[in-house]
Amino acid sequence: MTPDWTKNLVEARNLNIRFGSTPVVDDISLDLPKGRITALVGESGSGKSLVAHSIAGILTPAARLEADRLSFAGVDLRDTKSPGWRDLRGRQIAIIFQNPRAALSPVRRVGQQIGDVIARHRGLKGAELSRAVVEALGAVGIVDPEARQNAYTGELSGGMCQRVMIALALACNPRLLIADEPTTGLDNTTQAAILDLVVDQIRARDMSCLLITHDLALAREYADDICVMHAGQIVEKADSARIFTASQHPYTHALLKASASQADSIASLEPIKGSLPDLNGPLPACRFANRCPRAEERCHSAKPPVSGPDTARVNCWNPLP
Amino acid sequence: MRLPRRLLSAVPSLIGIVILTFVLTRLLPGDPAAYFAGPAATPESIEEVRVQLGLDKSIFAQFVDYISALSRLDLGRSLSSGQTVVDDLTARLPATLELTVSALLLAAILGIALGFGAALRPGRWPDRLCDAVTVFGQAMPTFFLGLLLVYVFYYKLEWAPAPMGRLEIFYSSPTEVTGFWTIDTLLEGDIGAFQGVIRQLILPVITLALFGLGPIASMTRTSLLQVLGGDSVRTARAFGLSSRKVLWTYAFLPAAVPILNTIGMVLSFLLGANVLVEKVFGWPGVGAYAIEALLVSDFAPVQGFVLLMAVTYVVVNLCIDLLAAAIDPRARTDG
Repeated sequence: MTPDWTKNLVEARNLNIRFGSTPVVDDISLDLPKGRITALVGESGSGKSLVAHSIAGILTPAARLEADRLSFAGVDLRDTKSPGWRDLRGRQIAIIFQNPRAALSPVRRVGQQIGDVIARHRGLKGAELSRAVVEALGAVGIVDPEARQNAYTGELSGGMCQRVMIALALACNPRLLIADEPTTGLDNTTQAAILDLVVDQIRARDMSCLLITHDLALAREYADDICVMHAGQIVEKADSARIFTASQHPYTHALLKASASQADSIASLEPIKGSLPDLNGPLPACRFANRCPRAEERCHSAKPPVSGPDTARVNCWNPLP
Repeated sequence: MRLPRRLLSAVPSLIGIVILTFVLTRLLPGDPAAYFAGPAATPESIEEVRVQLGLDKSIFAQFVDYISALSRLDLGRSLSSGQTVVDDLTARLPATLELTVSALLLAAILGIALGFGAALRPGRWPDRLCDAVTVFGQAMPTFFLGLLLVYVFYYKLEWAPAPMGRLEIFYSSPTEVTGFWTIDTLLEGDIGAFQGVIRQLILPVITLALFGLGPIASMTRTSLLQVLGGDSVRTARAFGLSSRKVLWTYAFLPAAVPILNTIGMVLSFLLGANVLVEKVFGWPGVGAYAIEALLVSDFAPVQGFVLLMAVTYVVVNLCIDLLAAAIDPRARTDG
């Protein structure tokens, strides 16, 4: 099946991911429109990386994926073995990871690794290929790409490895970049430089981006839309500005009060009560119900309804006004 | 820069080997002077032989003699063959090398293939096969396996030729060029003799290879599984590289160094196991030579053999280290 670029880039309907009998991602639906940066925000263990991996086709074999629909520009992503899907990965969907040093091969020069991907998808060879590699490295602000292409990851800093990873991801001009906690292992200055680079490149190339992060402040700064996950469920999706001024879901609200960038002082920080529910045990229909100050009887027994326009959707029985 | 430094690091091992071989052979039971004086010897004639052999001197003086001879590449004379040990070893080394190298190659190829299969299908039949072969090879003593193979394939089934050396007597031995008779017979264009050489090689090679297979297979499995489950292989897959590219370039290459090191270790097992396997198959190599000398307390050949094997081991490991550094930048220790 050939891609249909008039459609949403990614459409996921009732996506479930299980490990054995543990429902880690529960019935989420998510659209990634063209040309926008969507942040998927949640605590560790909320399932946000699994959602990203299911789109990139790299779910661990132990995970079972079920979905009514999971497609990229109309191409079904559920069958990872299909040739149409293979041609998309790396070519139209690229991913960068939290730990770039581990994500790149330690025994292959970084230029060769980028060359492998370009050769696979753009069919370049010889001098053309090496020119494209140097170009890709130069595009992400690597100084002296001619020399750096011969380095191994062991010879580069963490920030430099992430730049190489980004060069690899952008080498074939994909339509979608999935950034899975791209700056978690980096110091603050490098973090900003890397994200600025990613966002500049996405805007310049008219790409879409799915940014996976646990950091709400970072999501607001860089993303157009923010989608909040809790324990494998999407609780709220809205414009990034609106989330901060008019969050509707009690979890988002609590998350904001618990984040340092929103608080006036340390004393005004309010930790969220309880912890993520044990996914192996019996779960309430809304998985936040046991931690929620606004919870009602039905929150435990029935799936919360989805309400609101596309720019401010919330999955809650009792949203904040 | 790297090569000279690594070469230098082999020097202490070599010094250690020289000292150890000397001490070991002096610790062996039996009195060579008494043995070589013969059963009818009087105490006086035994003393005479002892003085002749220099065994009456202090251990330290004997050691100095040994070192000065060694520096002239003189390993002494075999009391039983009458030849110099260097000549004896040189004449017999090719037979041992041909056997050991063939066995190591077979063990490496089969071991890597089995480990690959096991890593790609963990818990399935290739994995079980890998397990079974590994356990069998490790549990079975080599000389017993050798005898078993001879019993089944020579005595019972008569598929294999008699376990008596490198070539049956009705073939003429090739002129030695490389010392590897498989190659030398081909150089002479003697296909019949070549097939004869192969037939003689099969059973001892299988015996040794089965012994060496296990560690190589299990290290290949472990090392490959670790890389396959790692982030860099996930990246290669996420970017749509072909499965062949992922498997060889992104999985096997980073997994290669532990496998190489295991092959080096297996070689040292094989050099040890050789001694018995050569004896079982009547193989005219240095192992059989050493064991015959050992039985009659003939010091010099045993000393020469241990020294030769140890030097081989050091040299091979040096080569493996250099090869590892060429494949994997993480194995380059300088800097």
